Amino acid sequence: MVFEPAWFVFLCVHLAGIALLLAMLIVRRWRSFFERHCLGRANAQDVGFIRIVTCATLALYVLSEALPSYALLDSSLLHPMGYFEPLAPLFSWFLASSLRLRCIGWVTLALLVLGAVGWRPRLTLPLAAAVYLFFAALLRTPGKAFHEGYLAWYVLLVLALLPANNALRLDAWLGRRKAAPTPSTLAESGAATPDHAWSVWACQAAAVVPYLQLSLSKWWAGGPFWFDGRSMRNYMLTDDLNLTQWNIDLALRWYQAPTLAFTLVGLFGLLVESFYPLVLLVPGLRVVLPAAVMLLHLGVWFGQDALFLDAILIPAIFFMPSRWRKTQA
Amino acid sequence: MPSATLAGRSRAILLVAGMLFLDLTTATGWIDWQWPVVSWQMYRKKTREEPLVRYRQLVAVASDGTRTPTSDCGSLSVLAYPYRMDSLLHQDLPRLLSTCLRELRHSQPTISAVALENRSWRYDKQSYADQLQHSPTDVYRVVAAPAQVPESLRRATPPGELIQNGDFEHLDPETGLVPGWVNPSNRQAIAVDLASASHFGVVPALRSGHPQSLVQNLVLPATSSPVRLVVSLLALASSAGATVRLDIPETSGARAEVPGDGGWHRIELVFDSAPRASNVPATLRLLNAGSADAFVDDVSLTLAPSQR
Repeated sequence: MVFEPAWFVFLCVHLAGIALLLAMLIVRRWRSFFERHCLGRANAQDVGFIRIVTCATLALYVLSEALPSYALLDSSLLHPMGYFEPLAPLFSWFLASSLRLRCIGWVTLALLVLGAVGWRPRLTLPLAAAVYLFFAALLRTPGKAFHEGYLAWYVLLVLALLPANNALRLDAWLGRRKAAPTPSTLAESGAATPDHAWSVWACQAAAVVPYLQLSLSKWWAGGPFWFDGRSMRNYMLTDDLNLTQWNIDLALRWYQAPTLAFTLVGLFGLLVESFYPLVLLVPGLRVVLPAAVMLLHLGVWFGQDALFLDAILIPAIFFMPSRWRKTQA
Repeated sequence: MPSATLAGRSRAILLVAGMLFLDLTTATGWIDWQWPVVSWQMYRKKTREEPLVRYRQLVAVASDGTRTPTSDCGSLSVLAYPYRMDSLLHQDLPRLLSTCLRELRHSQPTISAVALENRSWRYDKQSYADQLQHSPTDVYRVVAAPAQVPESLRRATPPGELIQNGDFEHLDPETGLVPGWVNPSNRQAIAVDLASASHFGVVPALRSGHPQSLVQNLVLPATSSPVRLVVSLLALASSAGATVRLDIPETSGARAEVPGDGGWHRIELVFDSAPRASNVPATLRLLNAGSADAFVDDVSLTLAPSQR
C-alpha cells in the first residue's frame, strides 16, 4: 500500500479509536468525559426503537428478495462463500428446491418480525441474526459479496449481544395486561441511563463505522478529485445501463446535464460519507448527517438504480423517541 | 475486570473496539478474512473520464428474428437483482444463457436463442436511442438446437483424431468459446439441446453480405507413404450456401456442400495426400453463405492408408 495522507488518517483513526475505547474501560475519568460530551442520552425505549427499525429494515429487505428463483439455476453456478464453504452440502440441499428456499425466507422473516415486536428478544434477536446470516449467504451463492443488508445486520448483531432490550416489547406488554405494573418495568422504559446510552451508541457505531473505510478509501484510491463529474457520470450511466431492477435511470435521462452537476453530486456524496462518522463524537450532528446519508442513498437509488435499502433506512436509528420528545419540548 | 461490568457499557465499548479492528484489518489485509467479514471500498477508484460507457444486455431472439431485451429470462428473478447476473456470467456464460433459454422457452416456445450483447456508447457523439440502432460491439449467442441428430448418423470417435473438440462439448466457461475453433467475427454462438444439454457448433448466417465461418487450424503430421485424409462431420443447414472446406497449402484441398433442407447429414471429405517429410499446416473451414445459421457436430479428421 502506497503511503498516502488519507491512508495515514485511516490508520490513525482506527488505532487511536481502539486505544481510547480500551482506555475508557480502565480510566473512569476519560469515560465520564466521553459520557458527558460525546455519548448522548438514551433510555430503554430508544433501544427498543432501534430494535424495531433494524428488524423492520431487514424484514423489508428479506421480502424484497427473490431467493426461491435461485432453485431454477444450475447447481454448478452456485457456491457458498467464505467461511460457509464447508457447508456446501447443506447449501446444495436448500438451493435444489424453491420450496426450501421459500421456507428459509419465511423463517427469517418470522424471526425478524418477532424481533421487531419484541417477543422474547433475548432469544429472537440472536436467532434472527444467525438465520439472516444464512439467508444472506444463500443470496450470495452466485459468487458476489454485494453489500446490501449488511448495515442493518451489523446493528442486529450488536442488539443481540447487548443486554438492554427491555422496552417496547410485546411480551412485556402482554405480561402487564395480566399483572399490575411493577416499579422496575416503569423505570425500564422512561429513565435515561448510561447503559442504554452506551447500547444506543454501539448500535449507531455498527451502522457508521463502515463509512470510515468507505469514504477514506475513495480519498486514498480515487485521489482528491474522486468526485470529478466525468467519472461520476460514467459510474452512474454504467449502473443505469447494467442494472435492470428498477430502471429509474435518472442519470440516463439527464446525462447531457453539465459536468459540474455531476461533480457536485459526487462532492456531496464524498463529503457526507467522510463526515458521517463524526456523529459518534458530536451528538449535535445526529440529525443532519443521518438525514444526509439517507438522501445520499436515495440519490444512489434514483440516480444509478442501485437500491441499498438498509443504507436508506438504518440511519433512522438516530431519530429516537427521546429525541422527538426533546424536539417537542 | 469484574464480570458485572461486562453487562453494560463495557460490552458496548468492546463491541465498538471490535468493529474498528474489523474495519482496520479488512482494509489493510493484515488478516485473511473471508465472507461474511468484508471490506467496504465500493466505487473507491475514479472510473474513466472519456465520455464512453460500456454495458451488456441479455436479449431474447425469436425464430422470426425479433429481439427483446430481458432482465429475468421470464422466471429467473435473481438475474434482475444487482450484481448477480454479472457474477453468474463470469462463472459460466454458456450455462447461464442455456438456463435462460430454457426458462424463456417454457413460456414462449418461439424463442430460438438468447444473446449476451456487449455495447459501447459514446454519449458525446450519439444519443442513447441512436446507439441502440447500431450493432453491439460483440455478441455471444446460445441457440436452441434445431432437431435431434438421428442415432444412425452418429459414429464413435475414430482413433488418431486430429480435430480438437470436434464434439463441441468442452466450452470455456468464461468466454463460452470452444477451444480449437475460431469464429473470426465478433458474433460467437453455440447451440444446445436443452433436453440432453449436449452442444453443437454454430456457423452464423450470412451477415451484411459476408459469409460467416467457423475455422480450425491444425497440423497434418509428416508421412512416409501416401495417406488418405478423411474429414467427417454432421451438419444441418436450413438454407443453401453452407460448405465444408479442407485447405492444405499448395494443393486444391477438398470441399463439400451441406444440403439446405433443414435435416442432419453426415458429410465426408476425402483427400489423398502424397508423402511429406515434415508437418504441414491445414485449415478446416465451415462456411455459411446462407440466410440461416448452420449447425455442426462430431467433426473428425483422421488419416488412413491411401487406396490409390
